[in-house]
Amino acid sequence: MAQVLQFFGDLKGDKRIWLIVAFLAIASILAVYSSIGSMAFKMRDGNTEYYLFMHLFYMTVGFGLMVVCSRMHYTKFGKIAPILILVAIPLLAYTFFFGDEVNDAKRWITIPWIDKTFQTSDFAKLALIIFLAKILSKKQVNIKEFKTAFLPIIIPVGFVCCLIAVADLSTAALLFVTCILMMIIGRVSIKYIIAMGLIGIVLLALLVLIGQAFPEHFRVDTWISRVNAFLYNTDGGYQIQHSKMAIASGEFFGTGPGNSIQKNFLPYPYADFIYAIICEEYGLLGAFAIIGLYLWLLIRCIAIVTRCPKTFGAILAMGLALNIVVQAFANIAVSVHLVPVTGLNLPFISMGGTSLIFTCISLGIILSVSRYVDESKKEELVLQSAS
Amino acid sequence: MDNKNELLVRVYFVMCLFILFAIAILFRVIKITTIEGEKWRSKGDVYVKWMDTKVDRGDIYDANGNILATSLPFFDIRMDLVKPTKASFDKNIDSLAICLHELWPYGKSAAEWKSELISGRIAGLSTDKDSREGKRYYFIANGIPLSELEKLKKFPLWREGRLGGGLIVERRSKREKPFREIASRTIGTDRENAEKVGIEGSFDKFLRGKTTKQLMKRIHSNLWVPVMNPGEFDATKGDDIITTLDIHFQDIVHTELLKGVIAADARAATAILMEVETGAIKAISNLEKSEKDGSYSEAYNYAIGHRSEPGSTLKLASLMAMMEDSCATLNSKVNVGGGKRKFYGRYMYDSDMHGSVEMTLADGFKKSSNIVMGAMADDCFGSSWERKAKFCEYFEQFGLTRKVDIEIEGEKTPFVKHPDTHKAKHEFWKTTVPWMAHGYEMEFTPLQVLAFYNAVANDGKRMKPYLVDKIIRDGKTIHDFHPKTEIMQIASRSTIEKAQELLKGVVQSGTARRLKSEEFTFAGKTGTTRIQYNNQKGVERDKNEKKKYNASFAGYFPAENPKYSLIVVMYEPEGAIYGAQVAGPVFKKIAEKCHSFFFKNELAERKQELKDFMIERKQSGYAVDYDNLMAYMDVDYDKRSNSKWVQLLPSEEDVKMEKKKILKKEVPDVRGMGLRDAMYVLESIGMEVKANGTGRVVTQTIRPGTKNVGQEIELYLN
Repeated sequence: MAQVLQFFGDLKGDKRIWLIVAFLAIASILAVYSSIGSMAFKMRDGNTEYYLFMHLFYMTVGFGLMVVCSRMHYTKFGKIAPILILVAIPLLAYTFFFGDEVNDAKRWITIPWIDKTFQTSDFAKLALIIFLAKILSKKQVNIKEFKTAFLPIIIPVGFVCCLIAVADLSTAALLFVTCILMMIIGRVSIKYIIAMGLIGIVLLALLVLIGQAFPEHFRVDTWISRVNAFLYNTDGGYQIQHSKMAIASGEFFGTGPGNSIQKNFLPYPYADFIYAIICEEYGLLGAFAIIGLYLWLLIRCIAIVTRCPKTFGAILAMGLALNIVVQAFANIAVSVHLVPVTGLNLPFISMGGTSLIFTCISLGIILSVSRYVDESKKEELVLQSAS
Repeated sequence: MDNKNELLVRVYFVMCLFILFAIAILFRVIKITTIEGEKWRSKGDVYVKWMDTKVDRGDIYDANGNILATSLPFFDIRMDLVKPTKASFDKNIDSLAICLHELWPYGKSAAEWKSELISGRIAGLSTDKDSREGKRYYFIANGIPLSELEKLKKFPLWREGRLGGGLIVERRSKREKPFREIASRTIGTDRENAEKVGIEGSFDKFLRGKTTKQLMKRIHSNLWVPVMNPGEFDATKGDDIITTLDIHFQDIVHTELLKGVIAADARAATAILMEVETGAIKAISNLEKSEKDGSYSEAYNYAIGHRSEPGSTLKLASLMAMMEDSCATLNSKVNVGGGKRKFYGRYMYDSDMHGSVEMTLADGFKKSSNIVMGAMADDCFGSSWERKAKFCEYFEQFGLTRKVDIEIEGEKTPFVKHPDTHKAKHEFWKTTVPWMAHGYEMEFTPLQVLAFYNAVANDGKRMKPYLVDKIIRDGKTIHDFHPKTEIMQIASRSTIEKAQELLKGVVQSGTARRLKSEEFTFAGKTGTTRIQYNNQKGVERDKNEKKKYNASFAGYFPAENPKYSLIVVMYEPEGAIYGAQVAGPVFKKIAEKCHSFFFKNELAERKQELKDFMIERKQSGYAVDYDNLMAYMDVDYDKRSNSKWVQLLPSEEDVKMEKKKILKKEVPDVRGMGLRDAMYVLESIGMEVKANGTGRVVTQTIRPGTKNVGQEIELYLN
């Protein structure tokens, strides 16, 4: 026990964020182990342990990266941000043309030698958020200006989002929302943001038109049918109906760990619909707990911002947290039929190698910020008291 | 507004957005769970239900490991036409159609298969719900055996497994009895929607195994397939039941009873064979004539479930009661009135008007005189209620008033009157004792009668009859039903000896004398029972009513040191009616065949034992003796020497006989010889022998090969 406390004491950064991570990890392991049964059956003769082991492996790697990132000074990420963006853009382009096709969408590339697939948009998201935080903090002095501040901010954002959107509209949309939220926090003029929102809608319409012109390259049909299903089918499609059956049968306390029935019917119960499985097995209690954990994470990051509002670190931490929580809420909103079906993971809880790894890196950076922000604040206080 | 405050306001604004979003989500979750909850839960139930897993029912074996009942699996086959990908479906459809046609050449042609599968897939994939209906899960075949399933699984497309190839297999099983009719009523039946009978019924909770609930999903209006749920496959196969039945004996009993019942043209017949020492039931047969075509089959378990008046076979009980009570001797004489005598206003007849005036009790028993038994019992026990009660209590002492508690359902409690229970109801008449004395006014099942005879054969030790020897789970015995002694001694030694003597006498010089065999001996008692034999005074009987009888024979064999007891009952035979004529010959046939089977077996077993014994040890001895012994035992041996003294060498397959060197000058090795041979050998070369123990020589005090100077040698035998 003492060793555990010692270990916990050695972790750098906000202890409460570490606690949130621990709770999320437990939820993830429980939910994934329960829901991979049918996939294990398809691929591995019912060897669920194989998938659990892989998931634990990724978690361990992710945890290691989290520790490494939390011990690095976050400003280093700011320095390499332009490089990351310059790597991300060609990667996205490469994926669009030469990536592996999974479910009619090219979102993955196979990393040579280790033969693992990797979703390039995960990397691009992280790169863009770090980059955005960097320029937002740099332009704080003249943030309200259009030419010198807004344009340099919006151009890379728009470009990267468009690149992602061609293969993965929902990820792009969410990234765009995250960026807008970051800009709001970063004091960008509200009128520009509203204008940009309108432009975004126009761009989206344009994209749909282009997509219909070149159906072999774009998944416009999928988008339209999903939106139609959402708008005109009040009970939802097959997936949503089973998701609702899962949530409803969980009632207040749930059916208990491993007892989900709908996991056998829902596609990707270990990823897209993992929230429904949690609701089924742990009831409303589980449903509230998961939402609560994400909100708590956001609140911890806001605490960082209030302590140290103007720094690159604060906006970075906020941006990374927003990215996680936006995606989480979007995923959950699909399960409860608030928005049309997307193909998004529940960050940190869903099974999925690269997404888990990048979520861990994000959390590691947030932890690093929480640590150095406090330290720099102490320095500030020392300086103030000295002067 | 200062920059810092502006930023914080915006942060809180964003936070509020998230909190609102969270509330929206949670509101939605609560709504789905509560307001819409019932709707979604019931909708979920339509798709899935928990069903019992199908597990293999345990097998039923006879005592030698022959299968009496087993479950053969068979399969219903469908194909999920939508499951395979377009590429693999298109690639494999031609070869699949050809394979299907080759497997069932008299069914659809390859072209028909192909077109049906393709049109089914098109319909199954269609977006129109009506044309999709019922097309997706294409029916392939019903009730195919395992061998065909194995082939199907290797067909193109389907070898990719259920998820890749779409092959759906539904397993069912059919209960089979490899020996068909034989003992089938006792083995029982296991049909759906019908009461299980016999061992199948009574041991159902073991045989059916452990079923667990398995989640099944509905893929078609009435077709459910298991949802892949790896955790739920811990169902276990049913336990196996090892019965005491022996298919060799069972075969003999069934065949002979069938011959007998056809010859007698009886309504039904039963026979039970029991091992005297243990009470193990070795064979049990029930045959009943079909009203439709007059053929005989196992339809009802008469042996266990049918209670009727036993008639003369139960004279043994009243005779033993008199012996126990010492109120009469075997030589006591009775006036039989030529075959007809009146008791309290009611006539009792012997089976024929033999004309004898006086008969001893022993003679009366052997010749099955009703009057002798009736009159003697009335003299002994008819005098007072106490004496009448005493008479009935002897039946209890013999174990005749209780069920034998056979494992299978349907046994009836014996009906035996007692003044305490029947006096008040005015059902214990003056005639009751004399009528009970010759087997009326009481009812037993054949098995209950046999259990009593078995006790007599077993020198008075009453064993509980049993049918199930062991219950085996996963190769391990979980229940072992040892023979159980019910009553250590049902009657005194001398009574039992007299009973045994008289039962032998029935065959030697009594009613069954014509059945006497030179080959083997048996003892028993005939029974001819008038049924629907109304005992009440004043009831007019319809003169034209056809008299109906049951003929029986109960006994055991061999007469000395009996191994098996046996009862044969023929219900309502046409033509000949007497136990000695109808049931007796069947008894004799069964006994004869079982006897020769058993003793042939026993001899073979002993030979094997002897051979094993000889091979086990290095024996040596006089060659001529071994030649004789081997010839007697019919054992092949490899004689490699014509020497007078030989040594047997152990070998797995045969016995090798090598020369045993005996030299005058040396002390020979006499180990392995019998004492007689060793003494002869040693003394013939001039040594003095001192022997200890019996058996064969294991050690000798002087080492073989030592110079012989006429020393004294000591031998130790085991």
